[in-house]
Amino acid sequence: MRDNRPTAEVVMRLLQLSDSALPIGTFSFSNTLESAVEWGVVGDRESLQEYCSELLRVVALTDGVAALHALKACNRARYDDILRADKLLFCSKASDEARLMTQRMGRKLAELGVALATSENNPTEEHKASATILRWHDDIRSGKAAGCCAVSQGIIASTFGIGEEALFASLCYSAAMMILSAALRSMRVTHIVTQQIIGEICHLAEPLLAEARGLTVEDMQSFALEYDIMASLHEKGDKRLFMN
Amino acid sequence: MISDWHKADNDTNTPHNADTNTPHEVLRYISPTPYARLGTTGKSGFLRLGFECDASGRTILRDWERRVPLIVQQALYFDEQLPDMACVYILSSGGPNLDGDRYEQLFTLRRGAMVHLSTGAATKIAEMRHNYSSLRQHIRLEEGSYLEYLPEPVIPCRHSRYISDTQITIAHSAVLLYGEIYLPGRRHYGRGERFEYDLLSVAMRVEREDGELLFREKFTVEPHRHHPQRRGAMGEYEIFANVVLIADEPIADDIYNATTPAIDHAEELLYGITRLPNHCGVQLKVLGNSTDKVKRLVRHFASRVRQRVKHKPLRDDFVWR
Repeated sequence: MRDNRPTAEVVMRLLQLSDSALPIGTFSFSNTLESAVEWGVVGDRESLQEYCSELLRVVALTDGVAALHALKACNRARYDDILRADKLLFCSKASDEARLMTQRMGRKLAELGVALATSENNPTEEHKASATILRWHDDIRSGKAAGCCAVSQGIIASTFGIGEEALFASLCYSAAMMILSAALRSMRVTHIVTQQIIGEICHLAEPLLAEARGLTVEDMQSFALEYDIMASLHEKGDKRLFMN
Repeated sequence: MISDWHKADNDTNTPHNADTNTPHEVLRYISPTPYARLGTTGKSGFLRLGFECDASGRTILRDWERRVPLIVQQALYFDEQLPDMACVYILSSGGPNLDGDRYEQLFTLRRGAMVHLSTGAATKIAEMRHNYSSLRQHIRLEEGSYLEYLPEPVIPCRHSRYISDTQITIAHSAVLLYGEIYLPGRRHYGRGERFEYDLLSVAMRVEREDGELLFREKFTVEPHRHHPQRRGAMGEYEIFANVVLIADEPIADDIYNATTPAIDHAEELLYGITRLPNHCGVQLKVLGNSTDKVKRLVRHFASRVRQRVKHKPLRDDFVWR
């Protein structure tokens, strides 16, 4: 059985995969914040924090559930379950930009995962896990898999021995930072404030993880109408500092 | 395969009326109903409607089966714009949905059938102390069929628990317009009731006839655990509508292009349209504070769809509705 203890090596892997420098295009997207600012739904620190918290909930109960499922399926070598999570997650994304975002980032992450897992100097390489990321990457390229980012994250977490809690934290952190980084470029807010917001929403991660663990992939859920309407306003709008 | 999670245990009035597929969110509400046993007459409504075209091309209600409290009297042909379209109102003789009620509805539109379905009045989910109420639907549309399913709003009262699960099987050339409106509660009852219900859980799954999944959606609202009037969820609004159009890509594209999302502060309306995955259609989401305005917007959208598909507008709603 894979050892999921947070060794220094695993923590370093986690930091690598959560870092803004990870070249998967995270910061090309605003996750609807651009429209929310333009239409006055978000305008100050309080509204930004609430919007970010709500998005975190959406991510946790959709992408988070799929990522955890992919991680477990990968650890148990049940590849069909990975494809099922990918299919269900993709079919839950009800806007073009949401699908574009998850597929573009998922594909880039899979490419990166293959490069990391097959690196000659990779001391954590393990044949079975590497085989899964290679197969996953092939399936994305051939169109057999939609290639959702959360599923790529789950597979890569398995490949490098990252456990459920760490994967989930990484996913939440990336989603929050995507919005908060976009906030720095689209509204009057400082780096200090965005870091304070991250600090203040950290406590949501644990209960959201518990909630996500209780859901099957068939139960993935999202109740974010305002967020969905912002996605629509962005898709049909003219402003294009970010993709959604 | 359709699971039996929504069916009550007919033999006993025990809390064990759940199977392994019972949605996790209702498990905490599995409890006996002391006033009327789960599964007894009046607590497990059933409706099966099969529509098809007769030799003249008119859509008729060919076969049906019903069990109280769900009632359908007959197909009506009141729409002068589409006189061959069967118009059917689903009624409930029992009034609101009560604790432990389980409803199941199966609609089949055979090749070329054209149907307008609605409910006779708003679906009120009564105040509950025990168990929950559920609706399970399977809608099947064969080639060339057309269904407008625009029920009156759902009103979840204080402490009500309601789950609905809709499975749609649709052929490539069929068109489905499915629009639901949800109120926050009895807004004009007493001092006003808003988001005092325990659970609202709504799921939809759309597939082709060969089982290929096109789109799925699920949302769960539990106001006492996580209030929906937060930025990103419902914001400052109280009412929402969720309208799904499943149609071929050219139809969906035309509707998408003709619909402009907006925030209308004067009308207190916020709405947007997005394309569904797998090129299977579009989805309109509406937030508002007035039932009439939300309904009007949904009907306006429905009329645009009908105009595109049947080249006729939706008739004005009856003044008493």
